[in-house]
Amino acid sequence: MYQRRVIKIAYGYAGNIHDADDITQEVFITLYKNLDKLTSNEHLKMLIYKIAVSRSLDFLRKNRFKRFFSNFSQMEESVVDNLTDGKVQQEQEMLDKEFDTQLHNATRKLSPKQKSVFILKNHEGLSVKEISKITGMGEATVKTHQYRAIKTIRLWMRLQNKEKDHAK
Amino acid sequence: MRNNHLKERELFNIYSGDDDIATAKEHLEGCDECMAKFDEYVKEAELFARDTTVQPIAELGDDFFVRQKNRIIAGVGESEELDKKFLRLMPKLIPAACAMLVVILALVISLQKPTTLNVVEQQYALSEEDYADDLLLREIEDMKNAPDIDGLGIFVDLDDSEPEEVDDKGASILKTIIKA
Repeated sequence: MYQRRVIKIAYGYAGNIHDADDITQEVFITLYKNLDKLTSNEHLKMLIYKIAVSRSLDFLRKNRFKRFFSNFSQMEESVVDNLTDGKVQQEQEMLDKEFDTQLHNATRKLSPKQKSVFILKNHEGLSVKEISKITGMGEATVKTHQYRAIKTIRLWMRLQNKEKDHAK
Repeated sequence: MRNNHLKERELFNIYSGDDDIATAKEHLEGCDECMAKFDEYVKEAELFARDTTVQPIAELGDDFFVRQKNRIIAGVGESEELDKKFLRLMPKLIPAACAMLVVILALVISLQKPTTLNVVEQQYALSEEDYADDLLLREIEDMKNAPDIDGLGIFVDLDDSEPEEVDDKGASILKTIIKA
């Protein structure tokens, strides 16, 4: 039940499914070691989110330099992949995939804190209060990060669309 | 009712259901331009909430989650095994670590302790005064052994014996002998 949730969170941070897979494994191993601390189902949910966010942030810290250099090349590669794959796919599917790629690239521009809030709020549908508990930020700070995250993504999506139109 | 249009932050506050939005909401309901902006904002924000992992997970195959579950179980097993190994090794590790510590301490102490040669040197060490005297004697010795300048003996061995006493009586006797 939580496996998909954890991999979605990890993917949001790591940006690729293989690293997300590694993070997910670490999350569950850490959870296993902390099983004795569990008090309820609700606590389990929060603990999983907490560990997932913390492990994902650890991953970002460890791969700071790698990410910095890969950021430049990744955007173009993904768009080209999509266009070549699109020949055999339905038009709608191709558009969806392209949008996902653009969205994925845009979320990579978020700061770690913005990412945490954006993923937990939008992908997991958690409340501001819950996010505040998981991340340890104040509720007002959570809202500010959410606002900034949406703003950054809007900007990057527009920029990518402009570049795409320009290329045509 | 306010006249200026809503800012992006206010649109977000209405979208996120903030408590303090009464004035902004009032303006929104009466302003078509802001309402259009808000609709667009909500549409975009909801689009951004789209799950982007569907495609990458699908590419990994249908049984990805089963394989991942197995990997997690294996990982938990490995970590448990490591913990057990560590616990098993602990009784052996502690004495080994202590022994190592003792060896290191012994080495450090032995390096600080003075050697036999140092003890001898300390026993025969000269005081500052002795050393100055010794230096002076050496210098005199060196000067004695130095070659003569133009064949002239600069240094003459002095007779250390007590000089003979010459009294006035002896001198007058000597004078009479010379006269005779």
